[in-house]
Amino acid sequence: MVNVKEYLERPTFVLIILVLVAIALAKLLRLETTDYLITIMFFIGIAMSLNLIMGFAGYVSFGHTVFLGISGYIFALIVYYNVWLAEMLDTLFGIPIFLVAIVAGGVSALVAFLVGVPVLKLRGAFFAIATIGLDFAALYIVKAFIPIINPEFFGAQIILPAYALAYKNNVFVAMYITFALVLITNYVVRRSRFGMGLLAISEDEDAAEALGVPTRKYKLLAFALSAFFTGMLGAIFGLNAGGVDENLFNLAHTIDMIVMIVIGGIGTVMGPLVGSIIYFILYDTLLVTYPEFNLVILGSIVAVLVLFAPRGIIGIIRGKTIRGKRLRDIIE
Amino acid sequence: MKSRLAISMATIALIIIIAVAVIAGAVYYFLMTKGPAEEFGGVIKIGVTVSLKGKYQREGDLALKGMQVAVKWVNEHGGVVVGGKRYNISLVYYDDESSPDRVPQLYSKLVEEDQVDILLAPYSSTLTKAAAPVAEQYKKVIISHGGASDSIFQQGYKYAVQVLTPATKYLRSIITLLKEQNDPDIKIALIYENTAFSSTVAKGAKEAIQEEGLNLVYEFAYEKGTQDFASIIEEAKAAGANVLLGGGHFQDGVALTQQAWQLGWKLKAIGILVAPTLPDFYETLGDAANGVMAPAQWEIGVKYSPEAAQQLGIEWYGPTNEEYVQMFQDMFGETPDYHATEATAAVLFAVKAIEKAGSLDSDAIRAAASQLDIMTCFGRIKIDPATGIQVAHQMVVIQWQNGEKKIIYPPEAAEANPIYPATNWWER
Repeated sequence: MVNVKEYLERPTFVLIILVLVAIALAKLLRLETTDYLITIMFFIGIAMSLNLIMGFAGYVSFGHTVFLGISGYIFALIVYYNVWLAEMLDTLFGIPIFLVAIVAGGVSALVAFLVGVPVLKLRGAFFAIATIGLDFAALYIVKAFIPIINPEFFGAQIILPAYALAYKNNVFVAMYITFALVLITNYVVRRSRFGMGLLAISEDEDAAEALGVPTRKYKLLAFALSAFFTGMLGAIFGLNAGGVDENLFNLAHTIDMIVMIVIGGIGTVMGPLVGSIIYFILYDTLLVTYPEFNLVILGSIVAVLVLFAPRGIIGIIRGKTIRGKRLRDIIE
Repeated sequence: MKSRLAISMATIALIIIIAVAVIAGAVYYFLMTKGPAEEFGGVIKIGVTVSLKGKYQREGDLALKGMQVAVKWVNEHGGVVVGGKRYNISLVYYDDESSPDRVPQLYSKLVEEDQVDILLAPYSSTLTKAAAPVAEQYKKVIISHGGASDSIFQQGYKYAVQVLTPATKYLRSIITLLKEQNDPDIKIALIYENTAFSSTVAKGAKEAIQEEGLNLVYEFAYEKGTQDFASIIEEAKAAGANVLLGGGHFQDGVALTQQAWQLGWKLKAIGILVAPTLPDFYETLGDAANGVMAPAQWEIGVKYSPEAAQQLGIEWYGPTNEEYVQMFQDMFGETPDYHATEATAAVLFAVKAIEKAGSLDSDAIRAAASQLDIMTCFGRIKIDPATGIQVAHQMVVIQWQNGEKKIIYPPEAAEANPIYPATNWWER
């Protein structure tokens, strides 16, 4: 018997449920456009995916956008060359999209695993630079080989047939399931022995190793898991954009992910979740209302936050004590 | 005293007469120019995202200005008449930051929240492919003005239409021009950059060469960044080629032309993409530039006119070229280029399609768009009814003649005759 009350006393868990309910309601009551919801889930989702390796283990994967690109292209190629699959994509409430995205995400996870074996031996800035290198390498491979694979493609751009996404409701469902999985995985990992191990790695990797944390195994697992979800989101988002192009490899995506994690509060689940929601809504509102100055305003806000709240928005709250309870203990 | 009063009475009478005449004239003028005064129906909204930041910032800025000129012109010339009511048009736009990431979201917002009636596509085919599914979803006509790639129109989108010449037809004007010379001895070498755009252009050029029954004797796709064309040129010469078509961007276009000149390649015609349309081309190459041709979507001196439209038996719509360039300069203090004019044409096409449809229903607008065949300052516009791809708009061809860039094709736009064979290249 699950103790409901016990779960309700966990603010992070409650927040995750609230976010999922809010998005479902917004969709059902048509409070926001389907595309808005798909986009917000994508951006929050990629931040939460990166959180698994950056937030918990402290490894800043600066080239993380490479997994959006790899899975986006795998997805697009699978769909492009299997007409029966493309025709099926838009049926069965988005389940086919979700399943193909799992395959595409799996490829990213595999790449992350293989690359992670040598690269995760690097620490700090060296690891970040190595992942940027991975992003550039993958981008050049795509740019060189996609036009060779099929001269019908416009350069490295693959445009998917109109019938593959005739109903964005199906894309929404696939995105929603993936998004929910990312949030729940974050929560489960944070509470697990595995998550504790990752946090120990981010505090002091050598000490963690000495205490018996299988650091190599944990880091690899976190990196692959993170790549898997990033890839799935990239695949679905690529479909939603009518096809894929070089933009998926754009490092601007990683910068967004990192900013969302940092302003929220590193090392937690709630931090990046709150941070990414605030960042996305702020970004979107400013883009629509002040297109000339949005980046200046947003940049200033982020700079002020990082300056005065280096531990993020949640970091400020976590230091407090309410009714004798240290918030640090309950905010995960 | 008395006479003074009489004068002032006469003055007042005169003023009244003049005033009455002016008012009567104004009313007469108003009725004559506006025709029977239609009831004002409101505002028709045109939605678009433009690239105000990022890599397409320059193109996006020009496109937005082009749209604004068109909107101003249409509203100053009676707006659109739909169902007996006169509507003004207005533009609703957001910044897409040159990235497809937020394009679906912004286009959904345009349709659902701003309730626009018709959409224009963003700049570039990358962004257009992200907007097309949204347009399809909400059944809104979307007019592409900056995506030269053909592939979007081969994916079965029902509501996407295009006003500019697609990439596969970029060299077709030059090839038709060659055909018109009735020269039995034309041997073409196609040497182009191996990039998305140039390869697509080359693919279309090969089809056109075959259709026109011309002779392609040599073909080579060089890698991006190539600066040394000597061996490629020698091979083409050995194959007997006397016409050079190809290029890619500015630098390689200049290098290819320069080396063909220096290696003494005798050519009857030279058609290079992009580079010759820029003034720097002549400044860099001097005499070698003379005779070189290039395709362009639009050029500042084109001679499209209501008379030319009449000769072709089609309708003219929008400002004349002089009027257009003048309006653009008055509004923004700069001269328009083809990015701007494409966007102007897209707005004009939208207005004409709505007017012909006589309703704001998207299916009616799409059906009307299929039937339109009009000429604007951008040239002739007509779409393929099934795919929405542009079929009538021709690339204008420019040729450097004695250090001046002249428009030589199509005839309705030309300001000079083509020089063929290019004397300085052929008789040396």
